[in-house]
Amino acid sequence: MEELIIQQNRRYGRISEFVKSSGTSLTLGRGFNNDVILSDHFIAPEQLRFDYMDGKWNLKVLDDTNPVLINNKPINGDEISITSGDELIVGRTHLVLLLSSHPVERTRSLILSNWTANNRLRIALPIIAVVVSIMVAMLTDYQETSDEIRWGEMFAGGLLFGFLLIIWAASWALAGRLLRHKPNFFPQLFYTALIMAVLSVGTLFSGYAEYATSSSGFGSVIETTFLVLIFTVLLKYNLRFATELKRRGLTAFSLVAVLALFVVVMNYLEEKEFSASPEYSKVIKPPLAKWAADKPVASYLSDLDSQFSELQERDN
Amino acid sequence: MVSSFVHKPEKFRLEYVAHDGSEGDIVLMDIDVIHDLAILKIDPLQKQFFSFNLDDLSKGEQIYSMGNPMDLSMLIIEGNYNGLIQQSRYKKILFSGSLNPGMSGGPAFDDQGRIIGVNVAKSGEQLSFLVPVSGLDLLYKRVIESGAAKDFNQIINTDLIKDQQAFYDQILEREWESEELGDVLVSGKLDESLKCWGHTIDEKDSYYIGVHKHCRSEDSIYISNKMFTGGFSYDYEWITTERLNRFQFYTVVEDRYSHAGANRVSDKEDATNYNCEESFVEISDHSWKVSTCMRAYKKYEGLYDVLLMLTTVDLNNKTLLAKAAMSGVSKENSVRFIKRFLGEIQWKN
Repeated sequence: MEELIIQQNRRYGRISEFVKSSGTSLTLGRGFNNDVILSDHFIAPEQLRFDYMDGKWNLKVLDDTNPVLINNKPINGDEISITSGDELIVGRTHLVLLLSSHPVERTRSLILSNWTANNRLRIALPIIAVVVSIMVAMLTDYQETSDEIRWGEMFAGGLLFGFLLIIWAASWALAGRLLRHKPNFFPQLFYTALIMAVLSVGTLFSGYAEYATSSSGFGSVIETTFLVLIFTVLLKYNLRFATELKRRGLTAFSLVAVLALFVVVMNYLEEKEFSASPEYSKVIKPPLAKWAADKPVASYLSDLDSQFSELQERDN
Repeated sequence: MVSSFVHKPEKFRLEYVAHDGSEGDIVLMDIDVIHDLAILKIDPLQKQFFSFNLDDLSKGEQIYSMGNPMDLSMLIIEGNYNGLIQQSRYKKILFSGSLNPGMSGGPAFDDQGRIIGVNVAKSGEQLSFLVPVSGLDLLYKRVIESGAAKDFNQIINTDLIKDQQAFYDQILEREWESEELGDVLVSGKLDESLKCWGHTIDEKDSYYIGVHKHCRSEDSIYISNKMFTGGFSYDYEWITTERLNRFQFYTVVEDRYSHAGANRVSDKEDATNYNCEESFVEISDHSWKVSTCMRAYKKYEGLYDVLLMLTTVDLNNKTLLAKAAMSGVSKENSVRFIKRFLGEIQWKN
């Protein structure tokens, strides 16, 4: 026989309270003689009765002072049968009715759950990741330096980068502490460090799309997509360790996409109508970066002609 | 002052105050925007007037310049005629006297009181420029023949087109000398009116060497206080490195990769925004990134500011970066010039 489970106060995926039936009936109300006692004053002393009959659990309303809602619809008449997962609202209390046969999701595994349990590795790995990340950031910086290498500045930059990683991870750890009672600082640090290292390397190659296609529009689309992707992944892990949200990937993506859209729109609105300086692509990248073959000069000159005509049309 | 009236006749009015305090209206008859001259008519015409001396002067001859500097009082300044400027697109007399602001437009005359030039600008201590009277004479004769001009914008447009045609014809019809710059042959001085110079950037802290050549025209045409035109320049930079890797070298090239400037146009009523296009072009067996930007003048049809910039992108440790900027050029002339400019770049083998 299936048991009936009444679940209350489910917050952030952590079940606080539940009552399970132990026979073929269950009573619910404010009175102390009930199986499920609720202290909500908008519930009657004897409010509901659940009965198991013919393989189904049924619900009977005993008091009609206030409406009882099942899945947001008031119960007409006295008795209805229950489906697992139904949401019940009595008085101002929200309850979920479940049957013991209710399917459960498969077990989620913490990534690298072995090392999160191993205390030493748990701390060592993130620290190694941070150091690697700082080195990658400095290496990227070095590649973009064209004059004298100022080691002092470069180290300072690397340290600042590491500091920012820690601040980011710590902020999420604080959120995790508040929302899940578990900060998970080291996992946060680990993933932040790894993903930011990928971002650093990515910045080296930013502009390649613009350069190769000679189109700054296309280039900025690619760059924006890359940034949105990276930050979605980062946020997904941050959310995983700090919250109990289920659709983390989607949440992360939505947040990042909205932010990106906001930035794009602001830039567009701030564009000056008239600019006395030309706007053109300044990106130059090492050889082997462009895809298309070169134009012959004659072709370039005839394109020039079209460029002039385009100017006239735009003007008119 | 006259230019303000020409561009916004609904906002400005021309009036004069004579030496005896009498006032009256002025009619603007004609203008020459290239030489910065205008013919004004007052009513009634005065009985006493200057005449022109159209003969050549000799160097060292004593001449006098007259004007009203800083609205203080009428002043006469003595100086010498030092001949015509060599490096100039337009004929200018070098006057070794000190003009002051407010004297522009005033006459310069010989010891017989005949006008030999018009005050234009101060160039340094005891050095100033005068527009030769021949230009004024031509303009005056035009007024006598054709009467008062009606459409000043049209006159400006026509004069600018004619002027740039003469300039670019002169450049494009001659042989261009080649000069060596690193591994490349580039063009030398293309016109006598240009000022050319070169220098090398090789600081001891720097990991690359840049050899520069610059040529530019010192003249510009004043249209209004928000718009100048008539500029022309071209530059070459030969950049090499022995210490930087290719990523770092191209960071240097990127830093240097910015267009030369055209003359100032700061009002959106005067010109469109720049339209820029980039492409990869094969020139002299090498791969170049070429950027071309242009904008059209809104009030003067057929005239553009055109900017060209190109750099090689197929070598890891050296590049030639070439730029050219043309202000107030016609479409045909800019394409002609660019075609020739690109053609003259030769990689030595």
